[in-house]
Amino acid sequence: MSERYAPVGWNVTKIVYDAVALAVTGVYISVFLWVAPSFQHVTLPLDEYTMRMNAFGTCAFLLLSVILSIGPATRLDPRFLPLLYNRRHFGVLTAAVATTHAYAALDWYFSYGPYDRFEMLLRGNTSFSQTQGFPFEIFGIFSLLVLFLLAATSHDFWLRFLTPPLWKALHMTLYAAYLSVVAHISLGALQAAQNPFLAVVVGFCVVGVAALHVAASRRRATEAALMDGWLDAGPAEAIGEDLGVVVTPPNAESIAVFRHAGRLSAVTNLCAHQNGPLAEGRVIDGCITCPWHGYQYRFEDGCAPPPFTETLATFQLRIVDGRVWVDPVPKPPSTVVTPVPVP
Amino acid sequence: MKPLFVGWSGRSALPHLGFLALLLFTLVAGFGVLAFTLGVTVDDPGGGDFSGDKDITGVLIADPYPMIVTDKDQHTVILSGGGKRGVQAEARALDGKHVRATGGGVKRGDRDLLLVDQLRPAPGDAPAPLREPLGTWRLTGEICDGKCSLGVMRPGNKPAHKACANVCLLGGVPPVFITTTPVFGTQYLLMGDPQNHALPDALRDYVAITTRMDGTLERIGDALLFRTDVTRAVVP
Ligand code: FES
Repeated sequence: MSERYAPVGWNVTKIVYDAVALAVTGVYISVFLWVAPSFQHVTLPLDEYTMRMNAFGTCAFLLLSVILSIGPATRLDPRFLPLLYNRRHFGVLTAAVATTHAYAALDWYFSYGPYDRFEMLLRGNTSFSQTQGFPFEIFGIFSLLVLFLLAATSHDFWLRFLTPPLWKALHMTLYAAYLSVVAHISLGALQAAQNPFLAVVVGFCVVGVAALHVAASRRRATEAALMDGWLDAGPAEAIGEDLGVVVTPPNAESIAVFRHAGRLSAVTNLCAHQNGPLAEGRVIDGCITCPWHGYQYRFEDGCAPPPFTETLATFQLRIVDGRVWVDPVPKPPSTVVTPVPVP
Repeated sequence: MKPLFVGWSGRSALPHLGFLALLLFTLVAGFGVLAFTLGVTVDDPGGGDFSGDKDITGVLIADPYPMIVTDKDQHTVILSGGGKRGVQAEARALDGKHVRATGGGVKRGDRDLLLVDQLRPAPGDAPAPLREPLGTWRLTGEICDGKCSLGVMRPGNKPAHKACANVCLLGGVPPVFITTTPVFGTQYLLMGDPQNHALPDALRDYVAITTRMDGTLERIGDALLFRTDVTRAVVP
């Protein structure tokens, strides 16, 4: 039997998220192209293509900065979590905005000559040995290719096909793309720019993204030291009432952490019947209910309610600064572990 | 009978709606403000622009790059083709001849360029254009393609536009040297190599950045021609 993948499943949250992402982009592009020009101090207005390149180029950079800030922001304050939820759509949108920028440049700067535009893209400027006039397009091309690759592999199919560690590693190349974009802007638009505002914005974004990452990794390091050997199950906020999340310890079976009646508890993720994924189940009659055949277990001790006799291993939990930590050492099945109230 | 399959649940954590609303507002407003500020604080691209249909008569000079010195007022007009192409081939056949050219004009400051539609011999003799050697000069400025920098693109200079300028130069559009300070009242100089030929390919490394170059100046019509060995250009 093979796994089958339905087209992207839509729900209200995703639609709202995408509407917000589109609104942010739409506002940016409209203001840049249709409001700002009447306020410029110029002898004659900039040409339409250049404005388009500037608008979509800066927009893509700002969107990338936001995307890269989401991860560390949620680590520092779980209230940012809803932004994390659909970050991939944000990424695909950014790829589209960046493509529009690139297309405007290709069409304006590299076309209308006697040679092919893609040939000109590579051959137009070959001053690789100098900083001034460096072919900065190359950095933009690299970033765009990475954005394409990440957008193309953003679907869950690829997450499963490549396995999460490989997929994650692949998607970490977004950082390389970001640095490459910074090089693209610094060696291109910022060279010989008289007005410093773009430089200020780019500097602010880069420093901001870096600072958020440093702060988040400091937080992580302190927590890890505090929680010697325990596993980080993410913010308590992220676990919805009567829902479960999965934590996978290295070299061991995964653990399901549930929230029920405002309290958290953890049992093994493997159903005692046929190893069904308990974290994906529902809560029915105050019991964890396996999504496969409906076997039920109590939260506090992992036992099936009488007259059934199945039992699950239980795990200890703690909540520190809003984050959930799980002791990866299982308690023997049916050990009572008191559920931890979410503050 | 209850179905055996219980099914996956599709609910997610209830967000902090107030915080989310604030976040949403900050994002939209922040992007709006940034768009406005970045869109307004652009560098002035100057006043080069298309100047309408032109019909000129004068002497054609094919080297180092095609130009016409008009009969009427000894005004020197740079010649280029449509798109990013030059008109070297057409001009070669008419070098030194009295010609009439029509096409679209491009103008920036005192310098005109014609995007040639038609170029053909004109009746009558070719009066010799005014020529005056002006000696040896060391000049600082930026090499651009004559077409974009005179107003077909705004902006049509600086490193962001370098590859585009190179594409124009590869296609045969004449280069111009835009000096940082005026020389004999102009900042838009025609260019050529010391032997009065077109500039070599090495030119392209020096396009769109500030360079200092030594060479000679000659007034042709009302334009200045800067003849220089571009391979010895210095990036200050
Ligand atoms: S595997 Fe859980 S009920 Fe069958």
